[in-house]
Amino acid sequence: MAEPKSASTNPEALSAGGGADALPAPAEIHGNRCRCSACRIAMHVADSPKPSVCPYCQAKMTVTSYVLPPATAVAQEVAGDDVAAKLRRLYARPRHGMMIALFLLGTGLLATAVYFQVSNFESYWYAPLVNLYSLIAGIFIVSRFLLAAFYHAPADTGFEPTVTVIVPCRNEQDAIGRTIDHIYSEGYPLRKKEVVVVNDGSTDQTLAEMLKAQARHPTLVIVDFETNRGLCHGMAVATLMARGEFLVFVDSDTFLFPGAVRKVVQGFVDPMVGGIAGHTDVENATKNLLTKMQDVRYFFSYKIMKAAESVFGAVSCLPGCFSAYRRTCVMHVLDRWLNTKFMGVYGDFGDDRSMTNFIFKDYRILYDDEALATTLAPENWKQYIRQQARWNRSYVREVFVAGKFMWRKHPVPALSWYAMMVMPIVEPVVIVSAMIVAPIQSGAMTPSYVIGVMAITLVWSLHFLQHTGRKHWWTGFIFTITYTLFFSWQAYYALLTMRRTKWGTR
Amino acid sequence: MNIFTAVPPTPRPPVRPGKKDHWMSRPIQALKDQYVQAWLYFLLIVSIVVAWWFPIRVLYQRYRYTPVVSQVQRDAESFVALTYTGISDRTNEVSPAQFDEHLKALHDRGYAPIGLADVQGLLYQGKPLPRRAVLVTFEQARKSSYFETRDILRRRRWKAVMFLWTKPISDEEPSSLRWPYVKDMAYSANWEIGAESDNGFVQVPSDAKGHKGNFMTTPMWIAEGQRYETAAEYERRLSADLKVNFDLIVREIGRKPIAYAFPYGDFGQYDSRAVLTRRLNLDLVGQRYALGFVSGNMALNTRFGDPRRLNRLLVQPGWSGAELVAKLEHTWPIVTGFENVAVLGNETAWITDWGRSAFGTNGILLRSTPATTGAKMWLAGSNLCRDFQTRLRFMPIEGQFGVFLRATPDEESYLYIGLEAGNAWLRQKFPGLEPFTLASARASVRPNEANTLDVFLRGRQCFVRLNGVSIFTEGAELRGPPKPGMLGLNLWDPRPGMARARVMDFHLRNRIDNLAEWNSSLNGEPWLAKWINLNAYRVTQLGPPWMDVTSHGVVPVLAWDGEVVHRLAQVYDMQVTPRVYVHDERGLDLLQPDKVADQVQELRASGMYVNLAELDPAASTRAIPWLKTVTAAFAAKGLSLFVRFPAAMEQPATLSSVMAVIPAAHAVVGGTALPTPTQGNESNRMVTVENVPAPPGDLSLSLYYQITGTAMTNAKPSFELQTELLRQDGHAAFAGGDYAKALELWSQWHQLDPNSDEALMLMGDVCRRNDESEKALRYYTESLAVNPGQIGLAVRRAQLLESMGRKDEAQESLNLYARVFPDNSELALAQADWMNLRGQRPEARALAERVLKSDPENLKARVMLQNLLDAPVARYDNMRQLLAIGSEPVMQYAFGEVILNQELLSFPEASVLMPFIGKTAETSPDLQVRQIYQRLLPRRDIIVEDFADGRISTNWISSGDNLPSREGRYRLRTTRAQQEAFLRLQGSDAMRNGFIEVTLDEARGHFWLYARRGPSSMVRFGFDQSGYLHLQVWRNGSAVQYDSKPWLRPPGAVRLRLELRGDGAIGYINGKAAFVTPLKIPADLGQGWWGAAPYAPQLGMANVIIRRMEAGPLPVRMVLMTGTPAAISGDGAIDAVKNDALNLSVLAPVWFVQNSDGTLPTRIVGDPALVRMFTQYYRLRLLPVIQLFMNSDIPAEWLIRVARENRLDGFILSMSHMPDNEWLDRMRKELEVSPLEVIAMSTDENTGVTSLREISLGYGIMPAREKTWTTRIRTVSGNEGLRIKTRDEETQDGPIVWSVDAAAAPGAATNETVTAAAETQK
Repeated sequence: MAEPKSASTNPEALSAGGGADALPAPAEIHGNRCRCSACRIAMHVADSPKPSVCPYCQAKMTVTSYVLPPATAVAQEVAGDDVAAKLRRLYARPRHGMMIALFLLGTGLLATAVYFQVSNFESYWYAPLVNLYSLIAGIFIVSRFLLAAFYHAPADTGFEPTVTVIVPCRNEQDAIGRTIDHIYSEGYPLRKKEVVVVNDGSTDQTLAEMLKAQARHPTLVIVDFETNRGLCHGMAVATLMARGEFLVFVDSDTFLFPGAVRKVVQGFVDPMVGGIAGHTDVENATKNLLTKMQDVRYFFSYKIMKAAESVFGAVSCLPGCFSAYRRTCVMHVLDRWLNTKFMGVYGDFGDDRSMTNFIFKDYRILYDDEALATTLAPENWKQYIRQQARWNRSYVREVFVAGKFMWRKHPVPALSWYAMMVMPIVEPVVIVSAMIVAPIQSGAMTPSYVIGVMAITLVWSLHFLQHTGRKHWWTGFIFTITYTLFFSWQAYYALLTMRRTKWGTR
Repeated sequence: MNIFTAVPPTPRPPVRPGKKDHWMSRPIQALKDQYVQAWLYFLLIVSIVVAWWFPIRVLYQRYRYTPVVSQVQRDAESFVALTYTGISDRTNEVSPAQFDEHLKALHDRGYAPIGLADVQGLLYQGKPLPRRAVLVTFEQARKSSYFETRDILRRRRWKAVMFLWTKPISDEEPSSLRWPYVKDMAYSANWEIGAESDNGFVQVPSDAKGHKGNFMTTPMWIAEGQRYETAAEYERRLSADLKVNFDLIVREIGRKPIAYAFPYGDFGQYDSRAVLTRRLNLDLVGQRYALGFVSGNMALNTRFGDPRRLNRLLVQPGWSGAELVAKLEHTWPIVTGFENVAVLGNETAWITDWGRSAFGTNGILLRSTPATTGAKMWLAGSNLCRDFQTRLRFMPIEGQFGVFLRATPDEESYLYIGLEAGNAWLRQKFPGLEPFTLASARASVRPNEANTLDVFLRGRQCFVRLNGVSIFTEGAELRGPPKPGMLGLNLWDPRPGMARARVMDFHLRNRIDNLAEWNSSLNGEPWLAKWINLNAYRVTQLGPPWMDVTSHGVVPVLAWDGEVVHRLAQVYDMQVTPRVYVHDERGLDLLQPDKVADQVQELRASGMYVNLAELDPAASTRAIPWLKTVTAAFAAKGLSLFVRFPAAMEQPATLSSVMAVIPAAHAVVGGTALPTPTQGNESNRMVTVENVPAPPGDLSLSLYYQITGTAMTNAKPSFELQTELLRQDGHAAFAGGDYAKALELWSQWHQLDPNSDEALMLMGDVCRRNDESEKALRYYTESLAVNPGQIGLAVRRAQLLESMGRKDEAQESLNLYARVFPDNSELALAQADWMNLRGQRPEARALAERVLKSDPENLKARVMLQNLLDAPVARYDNMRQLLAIGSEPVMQYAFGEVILNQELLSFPEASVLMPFIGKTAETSPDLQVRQIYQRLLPRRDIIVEDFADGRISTNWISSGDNLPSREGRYRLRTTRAQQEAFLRLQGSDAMRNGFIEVTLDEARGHFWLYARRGPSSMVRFGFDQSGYLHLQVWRNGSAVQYDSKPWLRPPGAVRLRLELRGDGAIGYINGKAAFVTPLKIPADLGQGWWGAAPYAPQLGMANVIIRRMEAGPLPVRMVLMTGTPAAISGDGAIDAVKNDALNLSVLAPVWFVQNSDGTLPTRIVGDPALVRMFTQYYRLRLLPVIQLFMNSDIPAEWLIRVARENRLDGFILSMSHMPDNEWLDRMRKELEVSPLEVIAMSTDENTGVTSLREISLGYGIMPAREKTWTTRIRTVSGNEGLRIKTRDEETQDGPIVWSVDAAAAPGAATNETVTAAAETQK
């Protein structure tokens, strides 16, 4: 039951640092810790209603009171002009002339790639596999660009439903406070916004950081797993706890831009939409080559891939870092999602894709490129490789799961999907035959393949440059090269290590 | 206001078992996100695209890139073909840019692209092509050849053919095409698909040394078997490859390819020995494909080419567009306007195919390369020249020089004139057949000097003149209809690198029409026919004087010999246009044009020749209105008009203006055989004219005249092959004695080719051989109607007529031919024969000798003379000459035929030939020759026929109706046209001693056993219908010895046996001698064949059923009588041999013994009377022995004299050792003046083997086969007497010699017994 006493504090006044009737801040704020000893789970609520039963066992929970630490100021960077500066930094579009030049160059390159593709098709029968692959891949990629050109972000219709922002995390003592602050300072009306953070059995000071944040934002709901249960459990419990009509999942290392929550739910005006992905950039892009490269890569996978998919309401993956769901849809599939076994093992990775697929089966999934956020990308190669392996495993698994119902979707995304299903499997073979077998047989690499791949890379790298003005656009080539030489093989690696459930990034 | 506080969370209601959990149910009834319609549209579009993709693309490409054929007339019957090995940027191939340049150059020069269907249409339906048609082809299914050229072809609107080598396609080799592309090509407008073997570009082992050869043209060496594959295996290999290739293409593109390109452009044409290879390749490809292509230096193909081996010019990588076009420009046919083309100087006009040629100011030096044995050069564009004349000045330096006419470059078909020092020959070859010599002659080619060769080809006539002299007498007739081909020069020398010749001058010109006219005074003169015969090479038209037109009217000329003129015109392919000589144009009005036309038609002439030469020009133009009406009247009847204007008007300009008024007429101008080129006369056909000159004073005529009377009228190669096979098979059947089959085969030939005179002639020959005279006559007559130039046939027909008793007709027809061909030797011989039969022997002999004088090598004349000569020496001499001619290698086969056909072996002097026959039969390198001579060898074995399967073995030639008989019997019956049906024992012609025995079941009509049956002589034994038994000897057509008796045929089977041995013939009935003594055979009776024949005077009535037959040679049984002269003369010795007298051949009493001083007694010691009487009675040859102790020279005169004095048949010279050949040859020669039989005999004392050898070959007694016979003398003691085991000894055909000691013989003591015995005998 909700605690009327604690609801007197105006969260808007709190966030703004002062209210209309400026009452002196109470010396100490009491929160309620509701705990289920059987499930070793506790909820810390201050200004929000106390949950009455354990979300797991439905048993009554013991409620104890605690004193929140004194509220500290919101981190400076979260407020003020910083955000605008960051936006300018991220999206400093080049000059007009340059834009046109880049556009023409990109179009020309794309046309060249198409020409090569078509002329290579004339000698199709000399290497049917490579040619079929490059044909499909070519059509696929080019169609991505074409479809992306038709992409429009869902219009802002003034839709303002209740929203629960969920942040599951573990051992994030450094970032969690900031993340929460970002969420609270994002600008969505507090009365329609609930924030649930899940501490998945952290061994550091994460819980303390959360409680500190609760002191700043008393409506914050903290779910505390005393032992590590896994990301999906965190998400599930948070979902069960949530009271908003829509859920916005935000990673603990993801920072929302102002207006992001409002923007990301606009698409839900359409009742067939079950989920919407927001746009995420790399927060630490300037850190090193790897993050620069990932920045380009993120941009491409959002601005081209997801945008293209979104045209037919078929975004294949709602990334965990920043996506919105219709809560009822999640509730509907929650049990199944939680209990999905893959090859006899509970899938504890790639939760975002899995969840997306469950919803995608019956609903449409969109992408909103105007709902902005930034996230922290892996900063060293080891992490990156592990992350990629995890993604790949998830990709391989989910792509087949979705394959079962994908044919019921519109032919264009359906066929794209199946192409995406096959291509990573075939790709290494094609790369071998184009780069290794062909040079041995005829003395030269299959030129159309190499030229095609490079042209495409150049096109999306330039696209990146055109839209962001970031100087490290060329790292797209690094991505292509590393992908061609190494990461393409991870599909096989993923297939072989499918049973591994280790959370790669951390 | 916080909404969360206002709306508290709803506690979850407890879930009761069995109730639906609404908490978990879908909160919003989802609008189903379905895309059924989208999918339907999508699938629809995909299906449409998939289904229509190929056809629409094909339609689009067909429409869009249809090759442009320039709108020129389609009237050409030739095209050029090019082939590119590959198009790529590699250094040794034609680059795409170059290819583009080639197409541009072709387009700019008006070349039109054609496809395979056009080629097929041309070659099979005669559909004409656009002018300058060019077929572009590619090979080996090379990827680059398609990928690099398709855009060029599309852009240039051109088309090409790709020949598929399918193995690399199946193997997916990177450089090769793939099937989807091939299919694409096949359905596009620019490409067509042909085949080019599946695996034909590999090399197969060609010998044990590990050499390799091309797959299609090399018989494979099989290493495991250490052998070559057999022809059947070879064929299977090739045909399997072709099948795989063909099936693959059909399967993959769904269409049958119609063309094939031989891998490497080679079907075996590069090796003249690869006859089988060529035939196999062409046949197999011909079975599957309409067209076959080779590649090489030749580009041009004409309608007359063999569709299975069309030329393609192999385009070399270095050629620019201009060069390519320049090459092609010279290959086009020089059909029109080659009036006197001096083609020598133009280097590009010649294609050097082999060897080397150097063009210089003084002509071409043609020579072999160090590796080749010759050189060959073709005149580009001569492919369509049909009737033409060439003049060629050349200087042979080393080797044989020759000219190809109407040839295909691979020499599969050609006409070839070969010239070597002293010799010239004309050969013709058809595809797939061996070349045959049409004519050969002695001709003097001057080495290292300029020679002039003129060749005139006109229809089927070929005339060759060397240095102004006609060789091959008056021309040769070609086999088959005129078919165009290339003209080429050839050089050959067996030593590589040696052949060399210089060609100084070469002129080629169209046929020139030349009219011969003569004054009426020449009508009926033999000179006229002779002149026409001599000048037939340049005369194409005869203008016999017909009418003279004067001012008073028309004077018909003394009737010309229409028969002769028409016959000559027919023989030489000339036109007859009777001449109207106009002395005064005013008389012309009296000639009604319609009437004249009718008259011309009545005369069987093709037109009329009006000579206005005598008129002055003004008067001649006044005749033009009349000429106009005449041309109109003539044109209506299909006749032509030839007009000669006065010489003053023969200026080209004047003449053409005059002729323009009478366009249907032809101008005749004065001229000679090879006039200088005339210009500007293209509208009218120009005919030159010449007058037959008056006969020269000296009329010593050359006698030799020959027209090769063989011809085949064939249109297609397969057809030629067909007829040739029928012809050959027929000959084989004929030679094998199967006349019925021969007749059937040749009838088929005749049906196939009704215009073949040869088929008709051969059918006539068969009928004649079968004694079906009426039919034979009919065939002969038909054959002569087809080709009246067959003089030999005309003679045969006359002979046949004569034998049928229609002597007048025979005479008449011979006379006609004698008038047409006054100098013909065959006719002369026929004439001689005629005289001989009418008893004018000396005259006949003189005629034959005259023929031989001018042509000593005339075999026929020699044979004829052999009949006519009387003196033995002369006869031997003549026979030797025959042998000398016949034993020359080139003549051997013909000579063998002459021996067979003329039954030369039946002449007694034929023994001269036997050593040659024996040697040739064994050692000749030519199988055909060996076979024919083997048939002439005397038999050594005995043939027994028991007819177990109702058939007769191939040892017999049967002329009758060979009906199947029941087992164990053979029925021989005459056909409905025969009186006699015979069985002739093969190889019996030279059998001297022998027998034939026949067991008969029943017989209707007469039945005869024959021995030594020749044209006019024979021995026969048999019975007639009236119940008589006969034994007869016939010589020169009359029975000289005969015996007969009434005979009642015993019931059941009868066994008749005729036995010849020594000088007697014995007939046996059921094993018993029919007559008391053997019948005497005159020593000079010739040889001949052995056989049996039923005979009945009524046609088709004779019939016999034979149960068993046996025939074969008998050994020569010889008895030497030794002992004292008295003993030999006594009857004791006779007693010893008396019982076996009928089995003996020779009795040899030792009557002469050389004295110790070396002299010989000239008289017989003792009384020879008894022995002589005995030998005479039993027809034994009496050959007394002359016992020589030293081999002194025994003079032949002595032997002859002693034999004459003592009336002896010959001698046996018993010598210490065999004399040498030189002595024998000399002796033989000296003995030839008399028919004496002399045998040399010597016994080796160590081994006891006795050798016998006939020295004189006169009326020999030994089997005419071996030089020396060996035997062991069997000594018989007098008491025992001779015991001949006939059966046992018959297996041997050599001599068997007994020695009987007369002294020891029983009853040697008393003379009384002998006289008593003699008396009882009487």
